[in-house]
Amino acid sequence: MNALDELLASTGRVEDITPDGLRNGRAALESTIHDARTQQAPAPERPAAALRSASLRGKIIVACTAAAVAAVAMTVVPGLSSRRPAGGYPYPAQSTAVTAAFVFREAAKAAKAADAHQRGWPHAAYWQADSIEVRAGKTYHRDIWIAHNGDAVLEDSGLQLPPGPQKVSPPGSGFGFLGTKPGWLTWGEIYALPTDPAKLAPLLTRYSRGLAYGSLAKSLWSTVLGLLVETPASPALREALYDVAANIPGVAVNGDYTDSLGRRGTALTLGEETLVIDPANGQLLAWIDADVAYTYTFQGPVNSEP
Amino acid sequence: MTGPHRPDSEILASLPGELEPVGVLYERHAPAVFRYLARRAGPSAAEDLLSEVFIAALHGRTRFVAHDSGSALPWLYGIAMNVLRQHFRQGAAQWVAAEDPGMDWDAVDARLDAEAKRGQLRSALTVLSEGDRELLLLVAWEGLTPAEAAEVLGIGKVAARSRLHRARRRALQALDRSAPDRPPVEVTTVTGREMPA
Repeated sequence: MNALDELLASTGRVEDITPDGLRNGRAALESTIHDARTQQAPAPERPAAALRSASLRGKIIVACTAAAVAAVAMTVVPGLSSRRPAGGYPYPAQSTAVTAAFVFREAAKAAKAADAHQRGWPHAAYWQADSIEVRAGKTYHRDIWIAHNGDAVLEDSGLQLPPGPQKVSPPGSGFGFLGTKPGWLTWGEIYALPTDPAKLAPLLTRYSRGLAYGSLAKSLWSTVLGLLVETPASPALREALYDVAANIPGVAVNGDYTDSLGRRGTALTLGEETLVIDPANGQLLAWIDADVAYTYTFQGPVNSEP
Repeated sequence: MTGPHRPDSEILASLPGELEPVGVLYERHAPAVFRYLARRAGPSAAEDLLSEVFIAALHGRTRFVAHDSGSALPWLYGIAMNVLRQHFRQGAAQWVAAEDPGMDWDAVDARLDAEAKRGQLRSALTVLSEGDRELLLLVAWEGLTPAEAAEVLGIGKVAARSRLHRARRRALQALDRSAPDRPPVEVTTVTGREMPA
């Protein structure tokens, strides 16, 4: 049992209702049923006020109204499936003639070419990922510096952290997901991944089997994104990951995209996850995961923590 | 089959034309609905809200749409979720509503023996959308299957499975990065000052 399951199990234990509480609830319900019957009203078709005693009337009207409002809200919350922006986040228009494979292959070439311009990678002290997160209409700032041994310094206004930068990660925990492999990858494990797409694709596919994304393609897409987002993946690995992504069936080009910093890129979507990249330089601009959007203002090697 | 021995599916099917079957559903499911409410709002508020859930069910019974599981619980949990939201928005719980429209976290923390663990679940779940958090809790706390939880939330079953997986992943990541007492987590700031446990 992991830490999350332990917390959920501990907090899920509650006392049963008392006999008095059970009787009181039943009495209130019976009173409402009695009122409805004596007034000979088909309950659901009449105004709520006619159905229940005066003491309960106000509460029930509000509850039913809230239910209707909440039901409407529930259909739009998922965001991506309804193509609504998360909290005003700019969302791409549906128009393009290029294929996802073409975009990824352009990005792969650019990622490879960018190698010489990386500031000291992979010998820099930290991998920094600075992002703006939009979730439920609120904007948060997230900035993380990941050291070679897996230690991280994190600032995240969306988490319940004490003010200021915090060292939060256990040594060696690493970052980035590899499908069904438990936990997060270390830098060493990320370095060890093959950068030949012909070898990387079957490895990623193997670790994607069993993920609950509805199809192997969606699971593989999620695995690829897990290695691209907020990880110290090398330019060579990014090139290979883009090559693998180019062959995932069903990834759709969602059109041109301009993020909150005015940068233009191309949005690519499969299932509920969207990646926005600039194919001209291979840069990852944003990741939209269902109803949460991250705009990456910087991802790269740095030599000092804040 | 009559009375309390009728399966939920039959009772639900009879709801549009009858009032009494809601009482049968109460006898059968009030304890589970109470636990749902108590996990999120504490036992005292849960007792107050329990009858509201079933009265709202009575009122909304013609809008009920039959689902695969045959159990009335997903439908009742969906109503309870809306009743809770309203509770947290209203005056009786204004101080809670200011922090979280769907949860009294003090009531949640009160169920943790170790003081150091208090706040950790909130930290982990605060990175999730309200819908994903509810999905995760319906499965973990209420013991629903992902398909039943999908019924509560009005989403597709396949989407529920992928969202559940993603929610767990994201919550675990947040927990891993923010839990102050998980060894060997460092609890010092970068300036070397000690953080409160």
